[in-house]
Amino acid sequence: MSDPLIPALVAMGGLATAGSVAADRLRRSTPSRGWRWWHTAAVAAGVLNVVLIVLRAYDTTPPRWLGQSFDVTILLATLVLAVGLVCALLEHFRGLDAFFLPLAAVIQAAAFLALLGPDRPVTDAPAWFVVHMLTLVLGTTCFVAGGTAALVYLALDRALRHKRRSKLAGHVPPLERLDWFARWMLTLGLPLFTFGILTGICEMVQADEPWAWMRDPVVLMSFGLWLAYAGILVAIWLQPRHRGRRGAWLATSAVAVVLVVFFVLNLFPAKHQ
Amino acid sequence: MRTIVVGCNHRTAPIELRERLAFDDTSCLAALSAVGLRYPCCETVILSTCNRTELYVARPNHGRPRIQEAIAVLADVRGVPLHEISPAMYHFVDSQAVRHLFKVTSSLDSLVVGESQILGQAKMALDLAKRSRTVGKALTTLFQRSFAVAKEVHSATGIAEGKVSIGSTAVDFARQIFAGFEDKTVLMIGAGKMGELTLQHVLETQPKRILVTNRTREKAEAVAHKVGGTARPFVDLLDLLVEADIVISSTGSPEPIVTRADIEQVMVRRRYRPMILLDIAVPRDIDGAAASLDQVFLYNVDDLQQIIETTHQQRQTQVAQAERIVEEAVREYSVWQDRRGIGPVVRALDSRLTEIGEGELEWLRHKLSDLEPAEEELIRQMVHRMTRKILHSPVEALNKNARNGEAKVYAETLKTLFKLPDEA
Repeated sequence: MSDPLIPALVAMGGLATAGSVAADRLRRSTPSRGWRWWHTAAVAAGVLNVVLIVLRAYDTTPPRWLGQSFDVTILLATLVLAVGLVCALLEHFRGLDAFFLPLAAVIQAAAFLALLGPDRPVTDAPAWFVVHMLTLVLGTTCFVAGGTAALVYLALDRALRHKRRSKLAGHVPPLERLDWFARWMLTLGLPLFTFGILTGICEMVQADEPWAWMRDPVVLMSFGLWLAYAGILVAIWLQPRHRGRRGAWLATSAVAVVLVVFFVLNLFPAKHQ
Repeated sequence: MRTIVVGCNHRTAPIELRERLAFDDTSCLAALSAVGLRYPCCETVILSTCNRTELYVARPNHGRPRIQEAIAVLADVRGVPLHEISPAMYHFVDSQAVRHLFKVTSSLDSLVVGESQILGQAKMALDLAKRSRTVGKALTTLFQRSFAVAKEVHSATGIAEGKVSIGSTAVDFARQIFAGFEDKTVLMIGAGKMGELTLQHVLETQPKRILVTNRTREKAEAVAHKVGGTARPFVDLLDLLVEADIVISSTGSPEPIVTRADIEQVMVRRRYRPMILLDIAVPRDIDGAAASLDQVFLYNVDDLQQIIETTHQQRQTQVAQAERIVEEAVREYSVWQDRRGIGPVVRALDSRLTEIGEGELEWLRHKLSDLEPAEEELIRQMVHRMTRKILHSPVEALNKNARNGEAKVYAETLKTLFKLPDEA
């Protein structure tokens, strides 16, 4: 699977179709309930992505899991898609899939940027590296999911404060539930992200030049992000006044930074890579 | 079959007349049976709501009742003199009747465009007709199609979006804020009529607790008793606000009774749990500045009226699109009905030609008495093939023109040319 372009494009087509149809349903006056054909299309795209990641891993000997930015980005798209599909299945969170599916398509499209850059050198992928990448991507998925829910919260809150009926009304969960979802996604994401960073640190201290790693932009930004999220979580859980609109602003701003870090730094060469 | 509808609604008849023509379930069943006895060959449905009373009839092409007879029967079963109801009655026939029913169930003909009650009422009307066995395939199909059209109109347009009363609008907003109401407390401040009406709507959400407070304790107790809540002293207002998630305020106080500072203090004590404040009072009871606080959603009577007005305007903008859907549905229904109507003509034509063929075969059998059975069978097959071939073109033309809506003309022509019976 040295040329991943076609299967990744097919999967992106599926995701884009599913995402656009799901988002278009928001304009309907009657919200769609339950599983629909576009969800099935999204599942097919997700399965194709997983197959692609596995085949690319086994393309080298020994297998190299998540060795390239492309694989990592595809995995992120697949996980965001999975969150969207779970939301479509759960009655309480139905409607959020209309945001997660298009977002997964955008992330998938961004994966193609990674193909433009030079391949990383083929090295062994030890277990710590796979765990490091996997936990970081899982953590990022939680942050992205929480941030997206927070963004929906802000849109709905804005309409309610402007004394008008939002187009989202009836299509997305109420504010209380969006707040809960965002809060718990962040809470779940931070330990995963922390574990990812810790595995990185463990390897870093064993490296030849541990302090040189500390100047790496990816490492610095990851620490910065960790601090930001830890601060947000402390604020949300210990000081209730940071819940609701204020918490949503914090989560949305943080997820914007996450995406910048993920896309910009992950797609450009750095010592980290 | 022909479909006719006679009736009156809020536009054509004053409420006094509508009241006299209105049916409850029992009188509706009795009326349907009476009409059924008088006109056993026709199907009837009576649709009776607070805004309309309509009699839908499907009868054979040249059967009865005619329009004036249908109006008379409606007057008769309600015991209202014919001359009193005649000026208020409208009537529609065939595709006009279909269009009218589609508009009625889609709530395009309602007092409040976009309301959804009428759909349930029409379903109930059909159900009553089924129970009294006065409805058959024609009206059942028509009504069921009208339900599908109504659903399509509601889902494809924004005609049913939003709410059109203060109470329901408030509940609509509360549903966008709270995930559930089973753990929520509703507080009513004051005992105003408007507040009570709003509370009735809020009660539909089945909150956990209802608290009522008023400067006059007896009034609070009276309202609390009526709604199954608890009366609490007015002096504890701030404590009550800490407990409450939905507050309805409608006192006659000339000054705000709750200030921004009060709400700020309350929000700290309730750990910033979201709170919806419905200030129905004029002058206002709650300081408008409180609306800027996080997790506080404050709506006064003007805000709610404005939302209702916007909803009305938005619904009106959707009417044209809804009518287009109805028109398309009427066209499709007429085509379907026409196609259904050509079946008997084709069958009659078929039997006419078969009859001619059989007659000619009989004649031939007398002339050629020494025919072998095999030869006779061959001739029979030839006659049958000729009949099929002659039939082919007219049937094809009928089917084709059914799609254009001209099948009736062709069917009538065939009936005249081949002297087919009227019932075809």
